[in-house]
Amino acid sequence: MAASAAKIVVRGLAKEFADRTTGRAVPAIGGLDLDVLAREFVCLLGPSGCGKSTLLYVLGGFVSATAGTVLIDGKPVGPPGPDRGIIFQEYALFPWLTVLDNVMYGIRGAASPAERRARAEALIAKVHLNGFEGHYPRHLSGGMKQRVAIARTLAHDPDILLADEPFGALDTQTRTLMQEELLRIWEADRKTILFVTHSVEEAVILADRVVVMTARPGRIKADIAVPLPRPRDYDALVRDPVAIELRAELWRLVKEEVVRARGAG
Amino acid sequence: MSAAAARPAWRALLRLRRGYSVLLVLAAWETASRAGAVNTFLLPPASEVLVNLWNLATEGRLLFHLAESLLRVAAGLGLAVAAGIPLGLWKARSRLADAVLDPVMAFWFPVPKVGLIPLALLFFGFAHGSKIALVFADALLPLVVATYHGALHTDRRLIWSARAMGDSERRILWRVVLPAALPQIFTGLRLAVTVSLLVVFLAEMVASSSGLGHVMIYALRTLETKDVFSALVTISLIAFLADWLVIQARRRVLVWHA
Repeated sequence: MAASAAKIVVRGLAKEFADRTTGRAVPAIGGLDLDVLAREFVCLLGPSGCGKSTLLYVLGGFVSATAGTVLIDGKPVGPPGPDRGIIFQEYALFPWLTVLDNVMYGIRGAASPAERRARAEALIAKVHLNGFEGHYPRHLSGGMKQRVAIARTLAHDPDILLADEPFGALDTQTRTLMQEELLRIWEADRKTILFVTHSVEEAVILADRVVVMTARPGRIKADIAVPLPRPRDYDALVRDPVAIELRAELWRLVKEEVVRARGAG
Repeated sequence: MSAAAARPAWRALLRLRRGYSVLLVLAAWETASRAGAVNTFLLPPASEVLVNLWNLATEGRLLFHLAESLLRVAAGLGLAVAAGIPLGLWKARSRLADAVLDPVMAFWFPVPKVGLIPLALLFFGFAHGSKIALVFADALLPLVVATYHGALHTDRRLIWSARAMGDSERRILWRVVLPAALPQIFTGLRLAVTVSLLVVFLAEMVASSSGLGHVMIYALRTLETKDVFSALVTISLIAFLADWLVIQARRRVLVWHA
């Protein structure tokens, strides 16, 4: 693939953090190269602390890199902006705003309040939360909160969606439903998605491509295409021989790194 | 959620209990005085004090002094809120502000503000100015400190989310950091209100020709003990009401808060 054609181009990315107690530099990412095409769904898989989230934060513009280049549409990554939406595992909804107001917060530049409201309501319907517009986040379940967070991010219509283990805190059933829902939304309006996860199953269900990272300092260990047709059928995937094979391979790769990380830690 | 069903009954019981404690104090007071346990000049019966209070109130003089005290508290507290919240936010979000404000606050915190009463009188006169200045001086710090701590611990992800939605840092300060700090700000406000009342009555006792503090000290000098107690009851009522108002406001503003 030609580097210039990629939506996101990462070259030689390194990130170090200062250890709070010793003051020494701890490498989180150590020389990482990655290309993500426009409208591609890429899952980042790797052991805890391998710098997956840090990579997302660098792409989001929240954290600056120690070395290397990060290009988005051929331009160096800038400060955070509405072109890149982010979804956190902990939802990060504004607790003082209702569901409707949280979603409306993300809507920019609409002509009138009525128009913004109408757009927010449409997004809320899209994530199946009709009837909950007036609820505050603390009255919602984890899955519902994450739906609101997704609607809020879609509200500013980002080019790129950065998802930091968004379903990691949900129970298995809710998680499955959320995966299906995310796929449905994405298949209708394909954005470039970089999705961090711990789960091999999740990566296979969602991604066009799964990037496996090494233990800290994070590098790319493997870059594996997911040759499964879309739209993905969750139930069929459970028994699909290709999917089974892929899960086994991914798990083998991740396990090596988990063991390595444990040995190092 | 089974506690929800029991809540109204429980609340009613709590309310009754609060009223009961007032009744108990009044009853003990009345009995002690009537039974002759205490000289009625030193401790006039509660009933007579309440009648006296009613007379003072209807005659209008007490209401004038009450209004004077409340005006001073409102002005001083209003200024403290207007200055304290922005200062606290600024201190939490700017390293420069933190560096500038920290030593000032460290110096200001232990100063016994009561000692400033003569200075306030000197600089701002015996009328409203000195009281407003003193209330401001005492109410400011709790508000700055509460806002600062509330703002400092704003969830980083909320700020990042706002940035990703294209918010400027200034907008984030008012739309994210301020609401996130509100629960703490209310705690600071409650403290500030209590302190404000204390300071205003004290300052009025020391040097003033109006206000409830003045009424109290004037009554003492003229040995009108019923007036002393009437002023005391009024002051207590005001303090109770002010605190209740803050709690109600908090409940309304923080409906979203667990």
